Amino acid sequence: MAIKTALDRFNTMDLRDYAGMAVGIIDGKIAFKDKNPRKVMKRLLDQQEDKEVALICVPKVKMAMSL
Amino acid sequence: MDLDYSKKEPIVFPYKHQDIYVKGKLEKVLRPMALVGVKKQNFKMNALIDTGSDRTISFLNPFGYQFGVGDTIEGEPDELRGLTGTEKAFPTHMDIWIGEHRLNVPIFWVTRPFKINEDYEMILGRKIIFDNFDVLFRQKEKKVYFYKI
Repeated sequence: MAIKTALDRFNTMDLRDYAGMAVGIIDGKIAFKDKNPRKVMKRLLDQQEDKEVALICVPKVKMAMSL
Repeated sequence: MDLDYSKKEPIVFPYKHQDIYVKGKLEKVLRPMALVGVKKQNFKMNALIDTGSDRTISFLNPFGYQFGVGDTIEGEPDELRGLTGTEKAFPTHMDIWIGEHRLNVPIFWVTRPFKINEDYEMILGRKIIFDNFDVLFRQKEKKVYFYKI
């Protein structure tokens, strides 16, 4: 399947490879990753309006968060 | 009432495997995750789909601030109570997109800073969202189907 969208890319990702990281996706491609989600989000927000971007933060210590 | 979704086109999200360390011990978990547009359709965030949460939740620092939420909040934050304790959070309404569908939902912005190792960047709760979608969890298939009502 051709990967065209952020959801296509997200579907193929094994999140275990990115534990403790923030990942930036631009037009279906993993563009960068960093432990600092602020940096990744800023770079994504700086992209041109016509690009589809996604911020994927992957925790590695989490039980539940029901509020 | 019959449940017949055969003529509807769902938005499909995955269950994702994650390794979680709890008190130093590794656990493998499978969790339903969505990718939703936040504030604008083409800015997506990863959200844990949490049927046990009334509300949709994210973090003011850094996410809310970068969306400009800090300019609009005022007064004291609300207190959210959950299984694991309490959090303070400011509610603001914001557009989110599930597929092509836009919903204006209250997002509760937790005031403590986001911790990359411990937190999900967004919790997708029931309010508004489950009023607009029938959500079908098929864990064995590792997929979650959102059917617009």
